[in-house]
Amino acid sequence: MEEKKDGSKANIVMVTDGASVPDPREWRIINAWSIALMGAIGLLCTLCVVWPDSYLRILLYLPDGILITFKITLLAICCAVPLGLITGLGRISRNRCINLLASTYVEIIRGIPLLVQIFYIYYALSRFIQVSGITSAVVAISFCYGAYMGEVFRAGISAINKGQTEAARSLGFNRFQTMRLVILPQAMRTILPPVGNECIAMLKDTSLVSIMAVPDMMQRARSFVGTTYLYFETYTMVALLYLIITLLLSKAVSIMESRLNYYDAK
Amino acid sequence: MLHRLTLGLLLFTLLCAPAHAAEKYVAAADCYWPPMELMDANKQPTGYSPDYLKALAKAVGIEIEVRNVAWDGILGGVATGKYDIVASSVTITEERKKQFDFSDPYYEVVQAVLLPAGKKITSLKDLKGLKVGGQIATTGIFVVRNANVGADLKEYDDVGLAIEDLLQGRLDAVVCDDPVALYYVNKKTDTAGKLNISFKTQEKEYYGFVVKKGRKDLLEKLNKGIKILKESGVERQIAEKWMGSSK
Amino acid sequence: MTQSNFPEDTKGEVFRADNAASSKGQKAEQAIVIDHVWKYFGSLPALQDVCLTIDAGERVVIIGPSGSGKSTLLRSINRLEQIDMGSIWVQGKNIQSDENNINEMRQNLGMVFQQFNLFPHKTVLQNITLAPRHLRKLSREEAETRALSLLKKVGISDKANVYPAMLSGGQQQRVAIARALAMQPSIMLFDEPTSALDPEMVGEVLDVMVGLAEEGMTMICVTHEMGFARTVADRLIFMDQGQIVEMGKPETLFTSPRHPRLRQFLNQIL
Repeated sequence: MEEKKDGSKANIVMVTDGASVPDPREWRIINAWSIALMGAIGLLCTLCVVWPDSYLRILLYLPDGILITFKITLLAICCAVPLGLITGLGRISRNRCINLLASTYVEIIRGIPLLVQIFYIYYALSRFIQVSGITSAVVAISFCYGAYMGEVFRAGISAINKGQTEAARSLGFNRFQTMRLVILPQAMRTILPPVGNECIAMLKDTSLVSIMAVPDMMQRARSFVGTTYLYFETYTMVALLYLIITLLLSKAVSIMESRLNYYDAK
Repeated sequence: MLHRLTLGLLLFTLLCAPAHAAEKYVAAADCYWPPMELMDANKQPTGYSPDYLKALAKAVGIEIEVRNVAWDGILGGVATGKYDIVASSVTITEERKKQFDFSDPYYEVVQAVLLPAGKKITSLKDLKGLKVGGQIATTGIFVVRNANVGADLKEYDDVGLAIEDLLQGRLDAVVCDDPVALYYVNKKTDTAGKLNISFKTQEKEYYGFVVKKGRKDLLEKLNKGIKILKESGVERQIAEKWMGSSK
Repeated sequence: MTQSNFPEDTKGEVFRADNAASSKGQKAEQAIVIDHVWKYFGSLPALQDVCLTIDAGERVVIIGPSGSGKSTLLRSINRLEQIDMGSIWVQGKNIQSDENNINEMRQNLGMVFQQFNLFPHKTVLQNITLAPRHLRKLSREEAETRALSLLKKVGISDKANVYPAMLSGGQQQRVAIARALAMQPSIMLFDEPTSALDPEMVGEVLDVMVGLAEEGMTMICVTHEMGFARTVADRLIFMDQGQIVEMGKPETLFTSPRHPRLRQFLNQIL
């Protein structure tokens, strides 16, 4: 914990398996991020130029899969972030019922592997409702990551000094206004990097949906392998593409993070 | 402490025990392709291909252990030497022959198109605009894709999941090898009666055992065994056991 | 309530302003009535049967050793602390009652904290205009005009557009006062406003407070600044162990403290 000037404690929120978000204060041109990105792009181009009949063919086979991967990720982010916020607020709610509900949700979801959840929503629930592969993928991923993000939101909100709430309440703001105008804007700063991380992890986890016959990047690759048996070449390409995408996303998160640091003392 | 040591030694001995003289090979089968390859009640691979392989091994005096390996990547495993043989209803195709060596054919199939009971189509052309499922990287998928009739192809990890979606109404048709289709239509209790084989393709396909490119020694043994089984009539017995009168 | 309510002899006894109990029929000039208030932290009593009446326009300073309950009492007035027994009336309204909207009542009770608690993500100007714009529904122009005149009053007009992190402690606390005043409260509560400041900055904050007192603002101030208490307070209250031990004119308490605990306290700090 780091004691800041305003007396608030900057909780270091534990991150999961997402790519590490680059430090926005990192100014050197040669750093881990740029080496990885340049290396990945360089390798990708080299491979495509030197062996166009295998690598370039793979690259041209994958784009519609990449689009599906992006689509699922984006939809899941749009659902998981609000769900995470609601869960996080529920977890710190003083209403016993809401608190219990949110906590139970987190406990249950965290105890079940994502793959099982995806299977469950697609196959088990099909007895009651029919959902498409993409819908159930989005629902499963949103539910799963909503729970993880709930914890991130909870930690981020709890990390804001209690004095901030007191100051806002003493001015006459109600609970909701206090949260919206004072607490959340500040919590965003601590919350954004881990949430960004979760989103990146989410993008990687979308590769699980190929079990539901959703033609995402991973399934396109497997399908390609199934016809050509170019295992090494195909998965090299897929790995490079996932790497480039996650690196770009982590940079985007890092830029957003630095934007949120506007009010720090110089 | 002594107990644990004894137990450990015992386990060790048990694990290392089968030190037979006969040459031993490992075969991989994706056991979600009934009745060609499936799991028995004791969770052991069984079905036409494993039985065939065991009879073959006996005939040429080698030992073959069959393991369950997921279809996705099963051919990659033989290329990297994780096992010696793939015995998993692999159709001999020109593309595959570029990467692997095949034994002589040991079974003949065509592609069957499954629809829910009561619905019927008659040709690949009728699949236009329909949602068609199949197991990823199987010849069923290739046939529909190459026919290029504008079907919406969905590739599943195993054919059982595709059948499940067909019954749920999320698919319009499933394409797979005809013995598998027959098994789901007639034998499997929870799907029997709910499906029908709408039509079969004309083009015949042949299953072969797959080995890593260049393993001539192993191929010779397999081909020799296949020949013995065909001539001795054992092949027919195994076929009758698994396909019954439907074949 | 004035000094005449004091019993002649409080030696060895805990003083109680019992008259507050009977004053449910509020007189207009009574700003705050604290009526037999008890507050526990767990099983530990933080306030024990506290009674106090503060008139409109009165400047009250509360002193006492740390842990004596003075901050708790102050925070109970705008319900930042929930009291366990008794009642608190602000301008004739019971703050505990569900009939009275506490958020509306707080708009009339400005509060200044020891740790300033400025909103770090807002500029000085935004800190001050936030509440008037959202709660008083002032237009941006009105709110900013009011904010700028308040900033002028506390002497930091030039810092309107910087973020709090770039200000010194004294400047931050003056902004905090301006922020509270922007809601035009009729009562101001100060919770040790200078305790977190470097010594050289205490003066600038106290000057603002003295100016405020001179304008006739009703003020309740918990502080250790005895000089301020002496010049500003109409009434000085000494608290210890959750009780009001002694109160009266600052001069009287400083020069002839009656209670031994007050005497001891004054010896320690003066």
